[in-house]
Amino acid sequence: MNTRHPTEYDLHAYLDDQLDAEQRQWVEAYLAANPQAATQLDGWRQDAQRLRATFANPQQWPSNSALDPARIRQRQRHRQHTRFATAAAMVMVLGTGLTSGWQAHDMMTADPVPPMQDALQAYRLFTDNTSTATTLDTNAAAGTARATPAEVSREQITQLFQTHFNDGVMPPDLSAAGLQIADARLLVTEQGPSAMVLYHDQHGRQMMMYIRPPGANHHRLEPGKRIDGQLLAQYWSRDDYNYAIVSQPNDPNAAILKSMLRNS
Amino acid sequence: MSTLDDNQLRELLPRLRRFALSLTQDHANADDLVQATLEKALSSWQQRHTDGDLRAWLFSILYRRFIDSRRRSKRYARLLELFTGDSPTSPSAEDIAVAHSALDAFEQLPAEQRALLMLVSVEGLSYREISDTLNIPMGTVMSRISRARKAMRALGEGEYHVAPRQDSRRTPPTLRRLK
Repeated sequence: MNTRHPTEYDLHAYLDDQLDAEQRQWVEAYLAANPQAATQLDGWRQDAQRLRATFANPQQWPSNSALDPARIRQRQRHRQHTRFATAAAMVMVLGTGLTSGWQAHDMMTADPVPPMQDALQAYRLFTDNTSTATTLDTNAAAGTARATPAEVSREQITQLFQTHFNDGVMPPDLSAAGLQIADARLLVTEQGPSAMVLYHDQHGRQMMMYIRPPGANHHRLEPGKRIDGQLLAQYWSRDDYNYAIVSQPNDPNAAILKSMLRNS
Repeated sequence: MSTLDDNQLRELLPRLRRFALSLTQDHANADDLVQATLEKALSSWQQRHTDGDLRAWLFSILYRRFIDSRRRSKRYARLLELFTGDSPTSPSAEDIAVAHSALDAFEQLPAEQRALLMLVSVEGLSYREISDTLNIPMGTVMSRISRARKAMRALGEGEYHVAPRQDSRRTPPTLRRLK
């Protein structure tokens, strides 16, 4: 038999029916000999009984259909569908946001000047003003090196491209198509050297190949074309350079040149 | 048991509502808590590892959710206090006087002690089950039961009477002390 007195915890365990038969007897014997402890235990027992009475018969409470498991399952399925739809919408919104963000980024970083405007300006300068170009060329401060039409040779062009446009596409020899190189000049842009090579045919039509480094922030060109005044500019990027062909809009030679440059 | 049987859940609903009411002390909040508990139970049934008593498992979910929501509202109250400069949770002297006259001893106990007394005295769970349900060691279960019973004695002297509860779902159970 246990010789020690039950602790307070033992009394609670007795009340809560957590003891085995032997332990129960042990506590009951103690309570019989200690009326004060028995009174204390009675107080707790009464409290417990009243608590049970207070919360008795919860099944008689007004029912709440929102708590029915079938309803909850149904709601969960509905919510899952809604979640899926929301996720799909989010993906779309995100996609739209990214696209417009990218477009906005493009718009913000894009050169405000239309693409290859310098090529068009070079064409205008060196075709329409061929006669005055000679005098300008003598001005070293203008930063232009020139080869007069008469002096342009294939070797010079090759050297010019190899020196300044390493890995760039060389101006093709189009003599088989009746096109001769009339002029070739090294020019200057903010990003570095550029060059123009002017072709002409026996009908007096002139077209120009233009090569330059990419624009600010290494901005590359989407392939495209645009009409500017009486001129057509076709342009694209390839490797480290931007290219343009400037010609009259109806000049059939431009297609030959473009094909040669893009496929070489 | 591979699926959670709706009929089993329906059978346990009254007990869950009762336990929730003892914690939230408000019928509407209690039902919200039960609903959240059932949602959690239905969605995590497959992940349930123990084969123990379904009732104890549901009680433990309910109790955890109650503690979590109370923690959240406490955080919210602290945040509110930070911005407004006063505490929305500290009752005025008048509020305290009203509380003393209207609430019974049980309702004035801390939620942890209410949960314990409900589980042991009303639901008849074993100390071991209570330990698992409330996620506290056995020794703590016993010491808290002892504290809770003493506190209840001291507060109410056991003299209270049960008011009819069929009137409204939104009124907390009213227990009036009879002197």
